[in-house]
Amino acid sequence: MMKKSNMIRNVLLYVLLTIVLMIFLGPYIWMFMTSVKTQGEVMSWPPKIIPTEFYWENFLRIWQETNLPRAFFNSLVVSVIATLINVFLSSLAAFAFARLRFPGRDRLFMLVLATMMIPTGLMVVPLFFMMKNVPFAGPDGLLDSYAGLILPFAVTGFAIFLMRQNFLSIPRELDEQATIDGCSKFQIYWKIILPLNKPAIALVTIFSFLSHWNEYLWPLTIARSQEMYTIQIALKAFQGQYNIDWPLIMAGATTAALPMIILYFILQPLFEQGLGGLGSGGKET
Amino acid sequence: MYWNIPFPYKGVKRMKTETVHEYKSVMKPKRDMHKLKDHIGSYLFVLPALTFLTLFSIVPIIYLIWLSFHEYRLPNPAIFNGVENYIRMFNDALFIKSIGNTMIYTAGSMAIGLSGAIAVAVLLNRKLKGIRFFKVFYFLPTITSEVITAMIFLWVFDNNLGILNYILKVSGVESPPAWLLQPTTAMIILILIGAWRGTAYNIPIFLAALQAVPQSLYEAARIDGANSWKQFVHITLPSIMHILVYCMVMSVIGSFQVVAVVDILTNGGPMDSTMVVIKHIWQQSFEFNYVGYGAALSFVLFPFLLGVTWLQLRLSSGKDKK
Repeated sequence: MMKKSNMIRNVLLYVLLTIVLMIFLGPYIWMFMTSVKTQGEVMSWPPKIIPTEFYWENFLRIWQETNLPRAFFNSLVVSVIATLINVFLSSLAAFAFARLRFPGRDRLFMLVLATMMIPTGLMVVPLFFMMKNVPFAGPDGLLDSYAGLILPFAVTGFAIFLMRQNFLSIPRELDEQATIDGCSKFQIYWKIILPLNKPAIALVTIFSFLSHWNEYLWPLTIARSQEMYTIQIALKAFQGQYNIDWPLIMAGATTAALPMIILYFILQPLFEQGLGGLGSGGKET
Repeated sequence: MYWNIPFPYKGVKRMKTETVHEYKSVMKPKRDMHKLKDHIGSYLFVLPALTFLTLFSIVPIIYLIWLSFHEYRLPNPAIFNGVENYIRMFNDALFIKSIGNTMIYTAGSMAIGLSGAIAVAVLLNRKLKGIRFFKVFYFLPTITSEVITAMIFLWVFDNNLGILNYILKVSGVESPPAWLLQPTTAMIILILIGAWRGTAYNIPIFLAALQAVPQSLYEAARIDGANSWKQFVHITLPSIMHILVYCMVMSVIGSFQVVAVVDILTNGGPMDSTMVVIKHIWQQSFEFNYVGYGAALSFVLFPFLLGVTWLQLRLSSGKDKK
């Protein structure tokens, strides 16, 4: 008796799980299936879920005809450089806030916390004109340049905050012992704190990269010419241009989504820990 | 950049109590050259990051305030015009409307997104074979950009060739609506997409919260004869309340700044029914070239969003005291 009702319940649970799976995964499957169809097949009625023949030509067209490869490259440059800046500078600051003693430390950390509260969507107008009026950078300043795309959101208070939380959990005796052994502060940072906090650093790296790769409003504002479009902006422009060529548009979307999806599956455990930690108040730190 | 907003943490309080006496012992003895050099060395660690944060977070706020009191139309220089920009807001019907739309969107996507996330998290918080497989795919929307998401759904909801209307036609609906061409349905679609993203984003957060609830509570309840629903209402919900409040605040902050999905899906239409505040600000500043006015609009929203964030920080440090 007991066994049977358990089994029914489990089957029901799996059905529910599958429905939810279809809600989340379905749109991606549909995106991919459309991207390997011909335009004619998309127009035909009734629509087929799986194409009669996988038509990879759309991806070739993305590569040859559109601006997306260039935008892909731009996004890579912007995301990688911004992430490197963030990881290096934020970990330096986090180290000082967590491990060193100097006057004004707490006030300065409060300043860091305060910057986290600023809604980025409202900062676009002043930042644009600051970038435009950068001295010695020509009439348009840093508009339409990598520097303009990268600098404003490179260092985040969040990264400093997150790494400081992690650095605090390392026993202080390690620093003291290292100081006695003649290590400089930078050596303590480089040789002790950083190696012991690899997960936190990996987390900041991934989420920095992700947020720059997916960023929309800032590149939309500051990238003026097609050559400086990031992937999200190029996608938007391209979607307007090819209007009803759905297979091509979906091929573009697939191309742009793929790097993150691959990264996600390779770094699965790290993502899971990070995503859950977004709310758990750094409990695991 | 949804993720770079603080989550409930335990840092500030601890840091404060910890350092008050530390200073006295460190600073008092002798302020010789060595000490000074030591401090300068410490400042060098924070200087680069703080320079970035000051330049790109603090300075822009001051500049924003300055701009909001000026008429600034490129290529002309900015001219001081007092509070004119602020007065103009009251006659800007589109601004009022965009605030209303943003609020509807925020309330709708938050309600569906958070209840959906809790429901799925409860579902995932069971020991079932192969549950990891499902879990992995549930997080996908979080790593996909808003632009890509919007493009996929634009195609799904397309009124001629979209898969949704095909399914509706097959199931007997003779003329399914042109979803994105009617004000009400366009807003509903927008809310659903926001909820889709919100659910995926919040599932792992609630899951982590659920896993922290002591199992002994459920066992005691079971002995008392409480059914699953009662257990949920009396044990689960109160235990994850602080996380729920936190997620609500985060949702408000995130949803209030929605713009990418709108740009792709409806471009604010039809008939401004999906015009949202950030899009309105952007249009005024960069399309219609009313920079000063755009700045004033931004500045007016500042206290609101800051207030919500402040509330979140308060709530999370309140949780600390317990």
